[in-house]
Amino acid sequence: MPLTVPVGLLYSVDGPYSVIGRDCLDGALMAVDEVNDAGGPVRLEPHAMNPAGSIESYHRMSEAMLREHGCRHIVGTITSIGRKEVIPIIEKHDALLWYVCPYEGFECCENVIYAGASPNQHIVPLFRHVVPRFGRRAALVGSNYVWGWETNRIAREILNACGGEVLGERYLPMGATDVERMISEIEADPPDFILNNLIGPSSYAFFAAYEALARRDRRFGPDRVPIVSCNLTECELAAVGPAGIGHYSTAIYFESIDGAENAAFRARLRERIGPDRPVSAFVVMAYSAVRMLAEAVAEAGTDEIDIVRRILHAHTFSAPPGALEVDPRTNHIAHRPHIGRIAGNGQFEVVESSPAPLAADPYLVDFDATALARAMGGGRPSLRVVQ
Amino acid sequence: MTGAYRTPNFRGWRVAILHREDANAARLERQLARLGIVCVRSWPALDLADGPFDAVFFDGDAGFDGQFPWANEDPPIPMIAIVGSEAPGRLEWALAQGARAHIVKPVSSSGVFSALVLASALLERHRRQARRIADLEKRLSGRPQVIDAVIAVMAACGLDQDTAFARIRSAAMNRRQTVEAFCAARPPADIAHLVARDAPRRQTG
Repeated sequence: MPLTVPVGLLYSVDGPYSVIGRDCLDGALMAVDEVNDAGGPVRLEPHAMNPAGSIESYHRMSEAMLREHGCRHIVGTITSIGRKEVIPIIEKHDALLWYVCPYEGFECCENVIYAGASPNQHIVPLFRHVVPRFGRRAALVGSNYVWGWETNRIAREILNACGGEVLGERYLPMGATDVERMISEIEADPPDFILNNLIGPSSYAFFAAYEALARRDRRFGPDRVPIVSCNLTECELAAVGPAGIGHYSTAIYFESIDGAENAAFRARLRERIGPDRPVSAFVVMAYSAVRMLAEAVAEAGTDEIDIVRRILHAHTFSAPPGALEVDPRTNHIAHRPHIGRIAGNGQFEVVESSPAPLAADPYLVDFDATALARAMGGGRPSLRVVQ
Repeated sequence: MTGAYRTPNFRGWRVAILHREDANAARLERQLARLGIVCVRSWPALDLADGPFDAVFFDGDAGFDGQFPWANEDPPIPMIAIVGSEAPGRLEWALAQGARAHIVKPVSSSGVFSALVLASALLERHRRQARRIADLEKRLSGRPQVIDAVIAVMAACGLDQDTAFARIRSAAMNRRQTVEAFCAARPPADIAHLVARDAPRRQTG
């Protein structure tokens, strides 16, 4: 008799970040089916709920998963607002939240497994790649909440340390598409590159408007002034369209990375969700999280979180991005960040990869903007030339 | 640590946790380790031999007067209370120890980083304000000599009060002194003499 484990899947498959929510849910459900089809010692019982991007629903639905469906594990939430909404309930019930998206760091909850990238695994490697190649003057855009604010703050700290400059920092409400002001400011004072922390339709509108700008003004475009993002993955490239080609993003997984595990995963996913659907870090990490959960529960013989967490801390898990380990100090997963350039086929061409997995540094304890600036060859000059 | 856009960093700090051994102290130590901080746990006394310390987390519930080896309300390092009881008497005691931030029991990972950021920044602000207040008090205590000087200059040079003060201030500035220090350093008659001598030079210069 297999052990039946209820698992909450809390993803918004409607609303402003529905494309990401759909990928996460699909990845999680694929893992659930694989675990159940294998007929092993654990059978997962998914309880999927859709908050549809409405922040009030996260509280109610996570409470229902834990209280009514007996879940001890919830795989879910995409934005930090959603995650912060769910954490108090998770803590109250001593459950475990599996969070698979990149985020802004500065959190280390004992009841969360952080499977997405922290700033030292996204914005820092992205800038390390981009600044030496394109320059130190950047325009920062973002959606108006903590992800954009904090990622842009780190960007500003890095640029200040290397004697660079922030030409403008503009935010749009989530879901807004009036990007004209951002574009006209960029046109008036061209930066070396643009850091994009917009999400969903705002981001798609920005790419489209920037492409229009590049068509009428040759100073712009991906070769001269690229848009670089920390959370743009394959699942949104169709929505971005040809306007995205040539621009950059960083992720802990790209579909095009090598590896037998990844190739096998891609083939199985294609069979399941169709040959044209791209594979993103979101679908992969939601899938990997559920596989890790099932493996740990199987070994523990229970879904009780203390024992499951202990096993998670002690094991290496084989997954499409490579071997995954949960750091017992921080509950964060070590990742190999990649930098990708958007190609014409809905894929990223990987232009740089970290040689080894980087431990997550959620509080940026080992981050030193001045040392980073020196490493990039752009330290702030100690004396200025007076002209 | 302070300054625009700088990430607060406590790597290498040494922090005292003044709390009896329990799960709260253990969780606090675990979170501080994530911030790159080394902890020394002790109770009830703070042993400075284990220091020097960069900050203290102390129990607000069971703490008592005389626990710290410095004057109350004027600790040399950031003080953070670990608060269980919100009884006003306990909060008053924690404030009297110079607490500038707090975390609540049961201690969890969240709140520790903010408490450190707030307590360090507020202590730094307190120091800046204290320096400014001391400076202003010193200048205030020199005001009677300034009045004596103004009266002397008015009489000697036949000036009104505002012009006399402006001439004194100008003479002080020429000597890179505050008005108060300038007036405290010499008798009113000498000041009148100096101001009378300075005046034509300023006009021709």
